[in-house]
Amino acid sequence: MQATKRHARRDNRRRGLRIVLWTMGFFLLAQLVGGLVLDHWWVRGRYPWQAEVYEQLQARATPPEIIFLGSSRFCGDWNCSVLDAGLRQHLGKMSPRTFNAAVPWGDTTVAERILDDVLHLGYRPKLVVLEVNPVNLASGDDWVHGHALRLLDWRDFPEAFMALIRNGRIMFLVRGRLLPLYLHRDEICQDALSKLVALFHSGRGSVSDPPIGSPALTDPPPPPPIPPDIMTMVKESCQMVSRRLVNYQPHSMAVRRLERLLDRCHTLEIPVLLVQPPVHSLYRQAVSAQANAIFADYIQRLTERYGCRYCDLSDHLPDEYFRDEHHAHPEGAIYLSRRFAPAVLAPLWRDLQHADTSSDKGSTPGVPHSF
Amino acid sequence: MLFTSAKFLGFFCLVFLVYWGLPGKRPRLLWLLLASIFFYMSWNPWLVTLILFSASVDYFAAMKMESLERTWPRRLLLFASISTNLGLLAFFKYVNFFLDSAYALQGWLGGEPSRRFFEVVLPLGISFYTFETISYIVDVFHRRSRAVRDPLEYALYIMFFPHLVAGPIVRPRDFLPQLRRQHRFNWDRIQLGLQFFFLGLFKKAVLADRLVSVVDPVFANPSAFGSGATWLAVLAYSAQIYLDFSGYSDMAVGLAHMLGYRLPRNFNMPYLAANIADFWRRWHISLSSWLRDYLFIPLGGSRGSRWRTCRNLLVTMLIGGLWHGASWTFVAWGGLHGLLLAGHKLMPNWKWRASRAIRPVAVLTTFLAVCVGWVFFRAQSFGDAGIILHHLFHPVVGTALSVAQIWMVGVILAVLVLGHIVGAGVNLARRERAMPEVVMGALLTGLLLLVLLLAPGDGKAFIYFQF
Repeated sequence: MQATKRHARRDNRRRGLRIVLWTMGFFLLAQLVGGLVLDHWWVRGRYPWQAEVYEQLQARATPPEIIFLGSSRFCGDWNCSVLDAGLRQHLGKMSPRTFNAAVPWGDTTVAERILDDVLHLGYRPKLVVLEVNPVNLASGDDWVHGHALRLLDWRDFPEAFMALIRNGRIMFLVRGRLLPLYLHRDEICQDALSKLVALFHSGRGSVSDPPIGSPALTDPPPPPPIPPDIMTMVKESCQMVSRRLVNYQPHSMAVRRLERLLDRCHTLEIPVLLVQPPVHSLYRQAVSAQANAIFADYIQRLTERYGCRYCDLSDHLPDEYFRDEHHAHPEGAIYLSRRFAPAVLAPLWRDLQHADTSSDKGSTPGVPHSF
Repeated sequence: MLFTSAKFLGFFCLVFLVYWGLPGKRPRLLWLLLASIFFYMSWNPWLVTLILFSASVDYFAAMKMESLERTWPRRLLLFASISTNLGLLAFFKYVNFFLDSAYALQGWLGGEPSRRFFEVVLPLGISFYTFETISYIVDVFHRRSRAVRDPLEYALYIMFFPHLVAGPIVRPRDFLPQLRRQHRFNWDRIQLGLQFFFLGLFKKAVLADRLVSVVDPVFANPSAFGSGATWLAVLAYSAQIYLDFSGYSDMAVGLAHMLGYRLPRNFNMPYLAANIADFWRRWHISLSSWLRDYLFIPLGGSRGSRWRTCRNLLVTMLIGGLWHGASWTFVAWGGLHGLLLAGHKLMPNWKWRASRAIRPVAVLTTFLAVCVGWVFFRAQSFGDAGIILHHLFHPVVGTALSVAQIWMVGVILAVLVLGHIVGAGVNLARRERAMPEVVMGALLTGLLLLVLLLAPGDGKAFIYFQF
């Protein structure tokens, strides 16, 4: 009797261990499989803004010729309607259409992934306008931990692992790879619910191009000034930028992805225009002359190596159009787009078209820097 | 640290690993006590001195009491100990309540009171550990338990962190022997603990917390909402309080299992009760049994006439209501349940009451009576309670809940009903033993994934933490 009880207790303990092991195994498997699904098939669950870009692109009747790639700065800097109207005015009916594929947290690592996906979807832009900025390319990989949660997949694991070990943020990669179903639960639930609701409201979305309006004749009035509490944060942020750029060197995962993107575009003969976006004067003062010189030198080398062009717009938007140190108000987007289209995009487009048709394809026309 | 927080998860993992890594009983007890003190101090570092003082009074009183033979000095020690504990409880929990009531009475009698209130922090879990210390000293007095000589064991009996802040209220004769035993690491207990913990987490984080968005607006401003919304809010609150508290209890039981201890079950499908007495045998079992053993029976219990029994029931439930909170609405809730229990006692014992055909009606009636009680329990004032009850039983037009909210409440109520039916109709322990390990593993994983996916981002505090 005692022996039977002992055996039963031992069997129960072993059973308990096996249940715990099965639970841990299934949990890990669910997270890994869920992570793979989010990486490759359910982009909206992991990076909703990225998915939004692809949906908007696929909702266009005609593929856009000019694609903007960048971060939240680019999201707010450009008004495609104003750009298209300006291009139509200067280039006529055959003017190109623009598309803003910028996403929040979108440095060159994200830009490379989005361009890859856009090409994979069958769209081939005729010009890529890419945001570059000294801070985003600085050593230290300051943005990689965010990408580890949203963008990077198992192919990027070795590179991201080293980068995050160096800057002490490895737990972001661990969470991003091993707990994706928990990290992105809000996006997963919202998207699942909206898909469920959509099942009961059948009707395919229409495919169309946004209309091209009349060109804006005047600048919009400046919005209200930055509130004092935001201004305090702006100053703190600019101080962080200064500290960030001490011993500045463009050497990071973002730099490697930028060069990979430029190399790919060069191979596919897709022209690239690198643009330094406008920033508040306080931000410009935070970037030292030395850092600017090193950055300019690096960009010069890129333009020579990959045949891309560069345009510095860092001081091309008055301070009053900013809502913080580097994000523009919608009025600022209109102000900038009104000038960018005729002063930079239209001439560049003409040159590119001329270069396409002429026999001399070796020259790299310059880009106007001021307007 | 809420049980549902990532911080607590890290804390428990550390406690668990070190506990089972330590050799021998005493190092483990000491580690658990330190962990419990740290856990309590994470809420308010200074109030740990109060719980230690309260525990010390009973520790020394019990030891002295056991050494005495004559009744009157033992009775004196018992009185002193209980007075100290209840005095602390009265001060920290009820001083402003009594002052406010006294001022209101003075104003009603025509006086002009100068209102002064104390700024008193309510120590977390004071109602629970006070009852535990009282049950200990009373059991020692009646020689049902021996006085604990080891201060470590006694301190851990009071401060064992899984049950420290919101029960279950453990009895000395159930828990103290466990502290004296040597515990072996047992995977079977670990997986059982995980079952309880994940289930409790699901009830609390996924189901109960979601109902807050329906319940809070209606109870905050009941006059704005129509009858439909009010009914849904009352039903939602009935579900919320059960899921919240039983979820917490399940988590506490699970944590204790993983440390090798067994805490008593606190809920047993209460909404399937066929009468109010049955409800109290299924709801907050540790409290109701405590009130029965340490209040109702000493008052005379059912030994006297039926009217005496009714009086004892009413007094017990009024005190039970007051225990929940310093507000007359809680007292009214307790009084209502006292009246219902008394009414149940006075009802003739007709045979048809026990018939199976009448059971669904009995269950529904009991549930509705309990829901009416919850109105007083949750309402912020008697005025609000009156408005809600009026909206429940007289059609009133007002703001309705959204379709999404109605669906959510409906789904959660359906899950609750299904859980009750399965819990009552199926021998879950036997089924669990018969289930293949891979299926159990998959079920546990599924439960955990549901929690991770569906729990709202902002974890709400447990309802019973305020008591």
